[in-house]
Amino acid sequence: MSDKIRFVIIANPRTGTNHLIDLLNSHPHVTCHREVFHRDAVYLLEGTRTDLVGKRNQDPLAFLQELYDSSPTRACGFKIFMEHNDNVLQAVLRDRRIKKIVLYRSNPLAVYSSDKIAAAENRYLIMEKTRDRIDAGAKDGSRTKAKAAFDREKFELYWRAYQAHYSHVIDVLNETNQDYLFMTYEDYINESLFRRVFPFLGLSQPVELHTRMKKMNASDILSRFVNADEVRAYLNEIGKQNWAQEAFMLWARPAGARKAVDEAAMTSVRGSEQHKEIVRGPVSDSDEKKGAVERLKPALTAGERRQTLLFVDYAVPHYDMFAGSRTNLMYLTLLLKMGLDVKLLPADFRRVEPYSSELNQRGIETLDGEWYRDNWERWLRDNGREIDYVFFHKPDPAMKFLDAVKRYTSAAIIYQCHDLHYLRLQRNGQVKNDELILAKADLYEKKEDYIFSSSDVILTFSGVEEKMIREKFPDKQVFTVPLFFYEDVPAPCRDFGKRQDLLFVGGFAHTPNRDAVSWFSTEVLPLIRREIPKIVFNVVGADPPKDIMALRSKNVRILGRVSEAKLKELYDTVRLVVIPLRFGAGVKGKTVEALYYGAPVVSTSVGLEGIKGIDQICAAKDDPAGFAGQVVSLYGDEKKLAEISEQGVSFVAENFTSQKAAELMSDVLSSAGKEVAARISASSSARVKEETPRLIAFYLPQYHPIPENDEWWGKGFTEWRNVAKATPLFNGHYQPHIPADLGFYDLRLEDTRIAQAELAREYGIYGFCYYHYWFNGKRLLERPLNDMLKSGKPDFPFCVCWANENWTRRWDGEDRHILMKVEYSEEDDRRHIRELLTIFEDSRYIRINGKPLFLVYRTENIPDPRRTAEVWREEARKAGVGELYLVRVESIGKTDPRSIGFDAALEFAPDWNNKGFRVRANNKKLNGRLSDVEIPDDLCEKNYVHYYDELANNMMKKKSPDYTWFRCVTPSWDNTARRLEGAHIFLGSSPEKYQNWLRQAMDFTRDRLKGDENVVFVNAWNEWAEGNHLEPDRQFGKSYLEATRRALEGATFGLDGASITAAYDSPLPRFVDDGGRELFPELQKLLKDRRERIGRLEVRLAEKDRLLEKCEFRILDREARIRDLLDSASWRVTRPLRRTYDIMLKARGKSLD
Amino acid sequence: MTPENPELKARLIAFYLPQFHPIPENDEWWGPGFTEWTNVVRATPLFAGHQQPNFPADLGFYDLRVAESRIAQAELAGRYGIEGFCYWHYWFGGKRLLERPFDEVLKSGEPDFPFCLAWANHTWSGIWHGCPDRILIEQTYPGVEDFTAHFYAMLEAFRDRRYMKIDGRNIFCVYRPFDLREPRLFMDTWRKLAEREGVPGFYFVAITDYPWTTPGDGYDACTTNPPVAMLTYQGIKSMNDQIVRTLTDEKPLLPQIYSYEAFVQNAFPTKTRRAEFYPCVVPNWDNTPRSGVNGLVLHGATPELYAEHLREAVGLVADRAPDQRVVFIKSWNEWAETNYLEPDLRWGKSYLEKTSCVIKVEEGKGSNVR
Repeated sequence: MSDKIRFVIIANPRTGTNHLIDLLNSHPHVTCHREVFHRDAVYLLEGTRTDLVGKRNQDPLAFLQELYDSSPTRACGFKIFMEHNDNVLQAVLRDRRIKKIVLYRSNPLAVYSSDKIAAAENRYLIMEKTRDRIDAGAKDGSRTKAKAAFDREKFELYWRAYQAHYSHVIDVLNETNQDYLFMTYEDYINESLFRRVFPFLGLSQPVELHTRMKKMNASDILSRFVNADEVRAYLNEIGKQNWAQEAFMLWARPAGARKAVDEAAMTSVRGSEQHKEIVRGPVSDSDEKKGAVERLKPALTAGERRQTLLFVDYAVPHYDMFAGSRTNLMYLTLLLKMGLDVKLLPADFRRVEPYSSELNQRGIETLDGEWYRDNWERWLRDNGREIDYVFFHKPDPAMKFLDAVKRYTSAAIIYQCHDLHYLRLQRNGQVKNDELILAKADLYEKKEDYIFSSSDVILTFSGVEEKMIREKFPDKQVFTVPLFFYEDVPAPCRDFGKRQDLLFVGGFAHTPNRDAVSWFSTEVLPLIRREIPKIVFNVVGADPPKDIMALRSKNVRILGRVSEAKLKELYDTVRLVVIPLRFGAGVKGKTVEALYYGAPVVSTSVGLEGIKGIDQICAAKDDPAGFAGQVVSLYGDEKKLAEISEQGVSFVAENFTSQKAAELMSDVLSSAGKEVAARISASSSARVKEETPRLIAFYLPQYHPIPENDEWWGKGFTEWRNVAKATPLFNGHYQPHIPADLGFYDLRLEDTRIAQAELAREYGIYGFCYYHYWFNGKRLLERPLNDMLKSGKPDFPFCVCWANENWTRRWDGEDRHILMKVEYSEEDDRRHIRELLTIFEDSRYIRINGKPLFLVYRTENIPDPRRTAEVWREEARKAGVGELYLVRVESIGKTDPRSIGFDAALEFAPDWNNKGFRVRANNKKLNGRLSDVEIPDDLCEKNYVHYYDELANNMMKKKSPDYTWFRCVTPSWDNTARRLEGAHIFLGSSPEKYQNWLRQAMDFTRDRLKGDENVVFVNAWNEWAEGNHLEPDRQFGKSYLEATRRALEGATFGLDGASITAAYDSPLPRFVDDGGRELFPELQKLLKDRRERIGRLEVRLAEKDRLLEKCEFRILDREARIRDLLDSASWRVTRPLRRTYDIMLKARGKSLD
Repeated sequence: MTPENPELKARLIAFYLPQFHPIPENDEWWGPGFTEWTNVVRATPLFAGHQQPNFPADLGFYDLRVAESRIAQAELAGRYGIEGFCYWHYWFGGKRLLERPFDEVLKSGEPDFPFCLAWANHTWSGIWHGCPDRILIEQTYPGVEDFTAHFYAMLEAFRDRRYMKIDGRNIFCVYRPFDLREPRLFMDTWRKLAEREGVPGFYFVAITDYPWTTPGDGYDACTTNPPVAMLTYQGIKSMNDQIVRTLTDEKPLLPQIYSYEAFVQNAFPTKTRRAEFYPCVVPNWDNTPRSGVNGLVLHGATPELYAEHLREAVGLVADRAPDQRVVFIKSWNEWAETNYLEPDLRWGKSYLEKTSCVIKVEEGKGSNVR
């Protein structure tokens, strides 16, 4: 069987391919060749082969095939450039067997410059010899000396070809629906991004990466050209000044402390362990070079490690479009300058150019792309320890990530309140007199309160808001920080004789700006024009809507978005800047900006709000007459204008400089650090309570034929035979269970085992507990486990449970007709544990406090379990494995595990002693309990029919013993498939009931068990013949997995687990709790309102702490979609939404007509 | 090297469906994890005496990505006298589907069991799955470049020593010979390429329906495509009227039901009893697992009737040159059409045993001993 991995790197010279190839080749299973299709030679990993050119050219594809086939390693690849054989490229592109890595560099000038230089020096390919020469050069600081001449026309031609090449590649890959890995040169700054290449190829992560970064050129790209000035002018002209900068490299050290590594320092990296002192981080920059900001750094570094700050925003800051984004960019840059390792998490996970690449080039890692979108939580869990601060901005992204941040990290949480969102809504609602907006404001107030109470430090830009927040949260650290800050303050044109007209600046996506322009133009401007008829009102701001455009006249100029230069010019030439805002909250960037540019301001009180000390230079005017009067009186007084201008500039210089901001942020960070330390130590017991248990699911390693089963049950027998043959016994009986996503799998297949683990992990299962069958030296059904141990795949935690029951004709362990018998002896105990010890040594094996976790299904069957435990422990110590963590399963009986030398016990679900009452023919009181189920009398008598919720309730009511006791739940149970009669059937199981049970079991566990013992079991992952599986089936899809994840998330919020039911199909959904009390009256009201406007609605409601924190309405306009939604048990259509919400209710409103 | 086995009366080639493993396309079209088994197990009886569902026995609910399953199939087939498998092969203008089992057979060298290919050159619609209006993937014929690419994509197979031959040439079947635009160009291109690459030439077999016209475009031979489109032209009447509708009070919709026995008795219309035709036999047929009441059932199939059917087919080729004594069996494993030789829980290995019975030369009666 072939499991060879073929791949190709589609790239171009100077896109960093050699580095990638070094990295790939450091993996033991990879052979990556270089330019196999270079015109002049065949560059193989082993060396350059000019002798092969003839053979290659004769039949390039056959040559490639041979190259792949003859590879000694599992994975084999090469790189191909646009100048290489196009036929090969086209064939390779369409060959699905070959995995594609596309390497792209977004800075075309860098590509071009390197390319030119490489061409000039004739070193397209850096093979060993030349590499050493370059390294030697690097050491004496001379590096490469050749310079290229920049030719605009050639550059543009080159660039167009380059772009066309990539778009063709991507088009083909998209059209043929292939997966590919797209990496940019800028990704190199970040090791974790880089490491995506291994999972993409289907390889495990190497423990260490052996690679080194070469510094090919000085970091200033312009210096690579003879005619640098010409290039600079060109860049200015096309507005791409950032292309003059080279990217930074920030790589973690392979083990232990993390340090920043700049590209220059990478030249000396050779292997990892030999060179402990790899890096010269920016922390040790020579002192004289440090500016004021840099001097603040030492306080922020903890020992050797550079502190990490995760900055969370809606999206990557579109700094030239939104004022808030601009502020964020300023803070990002400031924090970076202060020596922090800054990472940006855009809540939409989108990469938006040029913004994302620009951040990367500055050295800020951006956590974007599909992988992060699907795995951010996992990423947070894996990297949480390394994050020192999380900086949130705006309520919605904060709500999305806040809980996970608290769960997985001990980072200090800093919330930057751009303005109080609810306040803005409230004002808007009042102005518009709109109840819906006011209701939304209420929701946001609750959200923001939750965020404030969860944050360690709150930042605001406004003195007013600082006061409001302090009043509400007197214990919180609140800082007012500048919204804008500047490096230096320019000298404005103070000759007001030369200046004329009015200016307003503000984007129209922001409603208050729209209102301001409209109000000013219609109500204020006419009053001013009575005095100054020719005055012109200039309006600058992106995306003016129609109603604003309609205001245009010879006195109102709507300029749309303008360039920075043009804006500065406007500030320099107008007499007055007006800020006629009537609502909105927080400090207005435009006010500070106007002052900065030396433009006098006339404003409403909203426009001046929160700027401490502004009242000294500007008085608020809120009514049309007052506003107009102020404009008119200042407009003619040139002297006064100049005076105000000067005051404004010095006000900005005092309060809005980067020095001031950095000092403040330094205080903020150290205060946040103290707060979080206090929070964590104060709530350490609470934190344990909050910890989510590890979920371990029982795993049946059947589903492949074995000779024994062939003999006993007929050739080809697997569980699937029983599963598929099952038939419903009565109306409403859910049988057979038909597998969905994983199909009728065969566990001999690695693909299947990997797919199972991936699915389990995706939904929060921590590991599998494999049933293990040992009959005096003979193992059965051992192959899936053995294959997994041998191949290292899937990389998923596991433990084993010895199913020490005889195999009989029936599957429940009763000794009627014994097929395989377990016999016990000390000798066998020793032999058995020695075999197991080899399994325990696997790095994936689940341990509790360092001890391998081993379960025994029926200790009652062992003649002297205490002695067996002793023998096992003795052997484990002897073999150097150390202590064992032994767990007896309470399949039958409740022995104290300590009395037999075991560490703990695990209840088994279903617990046969707590099944709840049995449904019998004469059991009338149950009629109607499940209205869609009709059980004939004889079936009640022949089988054991119970209710799932009774089982769950009875089990949760069990008394907690005083030994360590693990809980176990089952998603559903019905072994009709294994029996003709005498089946156990638990009726009425559902994902929701299972979720509640699991949540209760988790709550129970985290209250009692700490650390590694905080474990809950699910029986089972795949007991299909018992109707007992989390794996997706045709009826429920992934609902049980989703329920699992919801329970996991819910468990951390400490909910009391009250269930909420929506009345489906009723004209208006009603939400009631278990006691029939009405929930969410606000929602009901909103629903009613909405329903009057629209016929149908879908309600999405997420319960976090029942505050209706996320509640939104979506009108589904297409009948088909509604049907899909209602009919799909797994809610497939709403999948992206399910990721966002914890609980979703489907409700249907009937059409109005 | 002649593949013929003197102990066998004819060369039995069984069509082989390389489904039974999930692929992304089917996941998308039919739901995640979809394989033929999904339909097989969901089948229900639609009329009294309707034998559904059927469950696999010895080979289980196999997954064709598993090498052991593929080996077990070949061992079973070989033991009961099947010479080789004819794999359905999908090529949609450069895109292959369900290619993994065959590719792995090719690459791994296992099972060491003869094979040939049949190009299933038809557009996939949802017709056999209950949504005829939906086109899933379209069969196109972009031209000679595509023919060339197609050839090279499969070249490794053509070179393989396991590839079955007639007249020293590799057997290649075309499912819909009349759909193929420029069939002669296709065949000429392939013949030339074979020569250039030094692989055996091709023996093209056209699969034809009523009226069993032999396409005059350079095909070497024909076979038939039973049973669906043939039945009425074979003079076989539907037996729907005879079906007792006892399942429910309402008059249920029924699939098209024909008698397997009647089919067997009229299996080889005169026109197909000619030298250029290779007979094709059908052990059983009922595609209601896929199509429900839109399906077609050959009711009352038994291993005994199949044995008669096969015996007749073997008789039809008895006088031909040894390597031309070919009988196609449709199919080895079309489970969703209830059209298979593989053991099931109802008949066990009876179909295979009957096959072996018919095909093996009784001791001392060797007609073919050389």
